[in-house]
Amino acid sequence: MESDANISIGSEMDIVAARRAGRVLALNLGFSGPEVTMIATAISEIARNIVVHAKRGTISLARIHNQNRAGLRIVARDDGPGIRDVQQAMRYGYSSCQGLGVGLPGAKWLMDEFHIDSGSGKGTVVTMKKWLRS
Amino acid sequence: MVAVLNQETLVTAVTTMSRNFSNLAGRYLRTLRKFATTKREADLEQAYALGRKAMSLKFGVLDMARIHQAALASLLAKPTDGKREKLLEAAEVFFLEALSPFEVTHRGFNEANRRLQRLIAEKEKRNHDLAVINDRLTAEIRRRKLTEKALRQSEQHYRRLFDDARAMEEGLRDLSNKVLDVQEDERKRISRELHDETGQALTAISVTLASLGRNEQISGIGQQRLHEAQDLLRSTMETIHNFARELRPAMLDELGLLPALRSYLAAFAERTGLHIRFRANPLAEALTANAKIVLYRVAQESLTNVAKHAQAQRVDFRIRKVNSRISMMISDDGKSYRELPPEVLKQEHRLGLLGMQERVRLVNGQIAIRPRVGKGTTINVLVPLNGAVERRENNLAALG
Ligand SMILES: Nc1ncnc2c1ncn2[C@@H]1O[C@H](COP(=O)(O)OP(=O)(O)OP(=O)(O)O)[C@@H](O)[C@H]1O
Ligand SMILES: Nc1ncnc2c1ncn2[C@@H]1O[C@H](COP(=O)(O)OP(=O)(O)OP(=O)(O)O)[C@@H](O)[C@H]1O
Ligand SMILES: [Mg+2]
Ligand SMILES: [Mg+2]
Repeated sequence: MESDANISIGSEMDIVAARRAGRVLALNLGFSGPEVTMIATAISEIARNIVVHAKRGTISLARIHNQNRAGLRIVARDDGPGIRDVQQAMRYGYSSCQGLGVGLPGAKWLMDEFHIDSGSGKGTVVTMKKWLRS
Repeated sequence: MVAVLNQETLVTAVTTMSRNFSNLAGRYLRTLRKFATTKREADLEQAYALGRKAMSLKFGVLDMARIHQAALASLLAKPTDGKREKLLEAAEVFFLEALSPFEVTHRGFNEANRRLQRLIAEKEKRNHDLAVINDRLTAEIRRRKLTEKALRQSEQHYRRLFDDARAMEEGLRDLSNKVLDVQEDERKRISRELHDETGQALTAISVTLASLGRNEQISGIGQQRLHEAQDLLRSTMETIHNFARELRPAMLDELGLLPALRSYLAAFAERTGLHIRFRANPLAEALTANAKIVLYRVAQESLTNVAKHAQAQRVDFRIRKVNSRISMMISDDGKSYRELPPEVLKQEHRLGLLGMQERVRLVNGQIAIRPRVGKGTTINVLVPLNGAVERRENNLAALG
């Protein structure tokens, strides 16, 4: 599937770039101010996870459609160490490294759809979607 | 001491809190000012990081509102000529970013709350289901208790019926016992009458006839008539004597069971031509009067049957002691009836065997009627030597 933006993530600067790209795309699609902020926040969290836990990876942004709505899809991909226990990582307050542990569950709550595919040694792919309210 | 320490701790905490607050407010103001002029994403990211920081320091949304309001007021205090609109716009985006972490937790709580509600609803449904099951169980238990009660009642009912039936049977047995007693008394009375009154009268007639025979004035045809009358009288006396003995052998009461039987058998053998072998244990005399009468009557009926039905030559008659009972065994060598039995015993006019059984039962005895195919019939009666009377009295006592 074609993407509107592919941002490689390896530093704090890249996180900002991904946020910026996400914000622009979301504004273009017609999301409201608060929604744009939520999208930027979700991108922040998963991009930061790449930097902190996997060193480097990519974030792809794309506009998507279903029968009656348009939306935005964010895919974060890395070849880092992966997450052994996904269910545990998704729990609010769980962190393997003294973080707040709000990153993954927070991103999930801010978006409409959230899917994580990971396992120890196989890298991590996080897919998130947000739909425009009609 | 403790109070003082707590006081100190509290003061320290409050001081740290307010130091953190002014730190945060300062950074917020500086970053917002930068963002208002440059509009860089990095500053927005910084706003988000500040919100996260505030949250980790346990500040709330209201604290953030205060910090934002103060920063905005401070920026608006300086002359901004025309940039005022842009400043407000930037401040809004910036504020949203700073609040975003709080939005996340808010949503998290919402979701947790929804999950909790679902759980509670499930629990309530489960409680309801349990209550329904409980009701059903209670109903089932009640039903079973009722069934159990009904069963107990019907059991009592049937036991009562059974007791009634048994009482009735006892009553009947008592009644037929009385009937037999009365019958025996009646026979005894008639027998005595025949023997004492009729017998005496006939004896008197016989004496008269004898003295008439010595009268020389009567001769020829008269003497012949006299002899004929004497013969007739003798056979009549014998018939009456036999009849009286059949009815109630005086010997049974006066001399005992065995002499009475012996005498009866002798007369019977002579009358019928049967060969009768009689052996008896004298202990039989220890039987109760009732038991003796029963044995005597059974012997009479058995021998009558032999004469009537068996076409026998010989009869073996034995009375023995078997443990604590007396056994009376009467075997003939006639043509036995094949299977004797219920249908024969049921026929109304066949009272012999039935009567025997009834009498034996009344003295707590047992009777076996055994036809041996082609070898005649054996009647065996067992009556208890002692205890028979007491047991009957116990039965009567139990009846109340
Ligand atoms: N891309 C990733 N690669 C490997 N592990 C990851 C990745 N993303 C998250 N994790 C694991 O999942 C855990 C939870 O992630 P989450 O973002 O919720 O919390 P955190 O990053 O530890 O803290 P913070 O609240 O600062 O984000 C992390 O501690 C880490 O162990
Ligand atoms: N010793 C026997 N040998 C062969 N048949 C017998 C003998 N005793 C009884 N029976 C058969 O059993 C039947 C029943 O005997 P039971 O004494 O009850 O009646 P009964 O002698 O015919 O009549 P009742 O004694 O009433 O005058 C007899 O009719 C006869 O057929
Ligand atoms: Mg994280
Ligand atoms: Mg008979």
